[in-house]
Amino acid sequence: MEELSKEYTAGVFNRKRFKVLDGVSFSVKPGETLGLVGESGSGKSTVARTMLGLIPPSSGRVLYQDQEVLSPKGRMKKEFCGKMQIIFQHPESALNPRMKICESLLEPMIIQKKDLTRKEMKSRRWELLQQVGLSEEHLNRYPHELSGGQIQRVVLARILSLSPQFLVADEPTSMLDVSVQAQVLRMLKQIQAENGIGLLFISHDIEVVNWMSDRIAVMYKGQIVESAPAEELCQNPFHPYSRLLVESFSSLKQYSAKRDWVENNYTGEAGGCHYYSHCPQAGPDCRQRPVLKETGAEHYIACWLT
Amino acid sequence: MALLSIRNLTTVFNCQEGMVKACNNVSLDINQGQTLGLIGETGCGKSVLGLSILKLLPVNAVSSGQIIYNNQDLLALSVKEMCQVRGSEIGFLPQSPATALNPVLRIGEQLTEGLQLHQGMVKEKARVIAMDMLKSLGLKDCDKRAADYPHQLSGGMKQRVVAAMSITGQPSLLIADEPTKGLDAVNRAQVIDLLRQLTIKTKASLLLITHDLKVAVALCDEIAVMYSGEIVEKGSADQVLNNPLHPYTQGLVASLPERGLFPIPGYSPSLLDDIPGCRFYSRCPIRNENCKHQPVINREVNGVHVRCLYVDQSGGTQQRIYGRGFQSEAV
Ligand SMILES: Nc1ncnc2c1ncn2[C@@H]1O[C@H](COP(=O)(O)OP(=O)(O)OP(=O)(O)O)[C@@H](O)[C@H]1O
Ligand SMILES: Nc1ncnc2c1ncn2[C@@H]1O[C@H](COP(=O)(O)OP(=O)(O)OP(=O)(O)O)[C@@H](O)[C@H]1O
Ligand SMILES: [Mg+2]
Ligand SMILES: [Mg+2]
Repeated sequence: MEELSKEYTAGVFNRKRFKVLDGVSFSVKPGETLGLVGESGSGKSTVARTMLGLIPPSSGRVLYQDQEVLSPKGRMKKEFCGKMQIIFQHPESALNPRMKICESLLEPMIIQKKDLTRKEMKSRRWELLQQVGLSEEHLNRYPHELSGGQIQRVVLARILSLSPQFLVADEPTSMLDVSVQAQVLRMLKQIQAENGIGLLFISHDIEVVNWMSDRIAVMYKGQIVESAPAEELCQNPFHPYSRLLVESFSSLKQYSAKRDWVENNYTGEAGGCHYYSHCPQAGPDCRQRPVLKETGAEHYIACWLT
Repeated sequence: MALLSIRNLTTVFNCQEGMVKACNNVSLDINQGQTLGLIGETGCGKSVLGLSILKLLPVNAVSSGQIIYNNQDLLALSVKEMCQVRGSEIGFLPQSPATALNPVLRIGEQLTEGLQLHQGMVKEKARVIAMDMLKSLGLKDCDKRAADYPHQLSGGMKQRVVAAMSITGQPSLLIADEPTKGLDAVNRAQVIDLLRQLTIKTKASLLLITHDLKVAVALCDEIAVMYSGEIVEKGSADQVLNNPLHPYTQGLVASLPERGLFPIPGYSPSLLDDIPGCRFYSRCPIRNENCKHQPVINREVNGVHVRCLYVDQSGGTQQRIYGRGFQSEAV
């Protein structure tokens, strides 16, 4: 297996003149999992969609095994279509509501692998259903007749049928109960290990991300503010926002949302640190934009306090 | 006197393959100002239970039993009367924000629509209230956001818009189907604060459907656990989650990330099947021949209602058996 790397630099998604992504770069090796956490609305799904050519980046590149993935127009080149896949955040909108589940499951196989016979496809479909824990009774239903978690698993089966090499999972278990979540995550991890799939795992559940990922990157307002090996980030988050995230996750019960989320009246001058207006430790330095610096073993932080 | 009491509610879907029994003989009570959490496996019928209360189910569904809200049986109400109850008396926060919003209307319009309709407010006043609500949910630049269409929002933003929509009418009962799904930890804490305030300030009751056990602990007074269409355990939040009695609840708690993500082996039975005994039988670590055939009734153990034949008073011996059985099978 060759080195799979992904680089997405200086992607500026200019819409109504605000930047949704601001120079995001990272790389994922084969078989590696990169966890992406961050504020809701910070651009995580946008990263995922741009990488797969679903929306064109304003600038920047995506590389897959050193080859450019996106065409000049920002679409994915055809040869990569089967190799890179995404599990969308809202699975209910990823299925065609007028197609029965069985048709939805066969569709990608028909499009991508024309050499399979109908019978082979059916047996493959059966295997996939088993893998994700659905039974045959669900095949004849329409998407609105399934529960949220069941749809999530249909979507997963559908994507696995394409045997992708790189997978983006945008909150794949947000609708599942903890036991099925554990099943799905274990399944995902196993399939990933077997096939050496590179995975970008987006989630809000820090414990889950920690369990799934080798590395974790924290995003805030379109920038990666901290990135470190998973254990390290959960034990020693440095950036004030990462700290807030990790702390507020672990202590929900006593936690009041207001603490640590200061409202400085300062509204982030162009070029300043994005977190300035909420940072309890903000100083004069922070009016300059910090860049990602390596501060420890593979620990990168974008903050002037380092 | 309970604000809402559900008695022997059974909801059945007529499908091609047969009858899908999504709620089976469910009985629950919610008092005024109380928060009841409903947790359970995906596909066990939690959303269907919520929708049954509001009578928002598709045409192939039949509900029987009683749903008594403020001394009237909701199942007996006409469509028009039900419209009155929905929105102004019972608020609903649907599970999928992606499909709950109208894609061709700006979110500001969708938010104020309900207020104008149910409370006869003028547009300007409705707008002020709606914006306040969005702000307290932690959405930045609300005024600008109000002019956006749903596809321009991130997943978590949509979730909060839908949340705001459901509580602007100040309902006396709110049915919230996974209100914190897709939110980061900070926003999640904000939504929890808001729901807590709502229940304290307006004395509203809350039926909280969630998969997030941390949210359930933080908000709920009582928790009901559902499995395959039935309520299998019900008691105070603290007891149910910290000292679960039913083998399913124990398995659920054991599969939390901090406990190492050990799933319950096997899959839940099809809702099409009529099972005479316990529905958890095939996956249960303490099962016994009796469980297969004997109908299981609700028993009360230390104030917790639990549907299992083999729960002893302490629940202690079981836990040990359980722990061993699961860990070895799951690894
Ligand atoms: N089509 C669009 N037009 C304008 N703005 C958009 C569009 N799509 C997304 N945005 C904006 O981009 C930002 C990032 O959205 P994105 O969906 O990537 O967030 P996210 O990090 O995935 O959040 P969440 O965790 O809530 O899903 C948001 O502020 C959103 O409003
Ligand atoms: N219109 C329908 N026709 C037939 N079966 C249906 C229909 N709607 C739902 N079901 C079935 O009813 C069961 C309960 O669905 P429900 O949506 O209540 O699950 P849930 O407990 O909310 O799960 P989740 O946590 O995944 O949202 C599911 O097995 C589903 O397949
Ligand atoms: Mg998203
Ligand atoms: Mg549901």
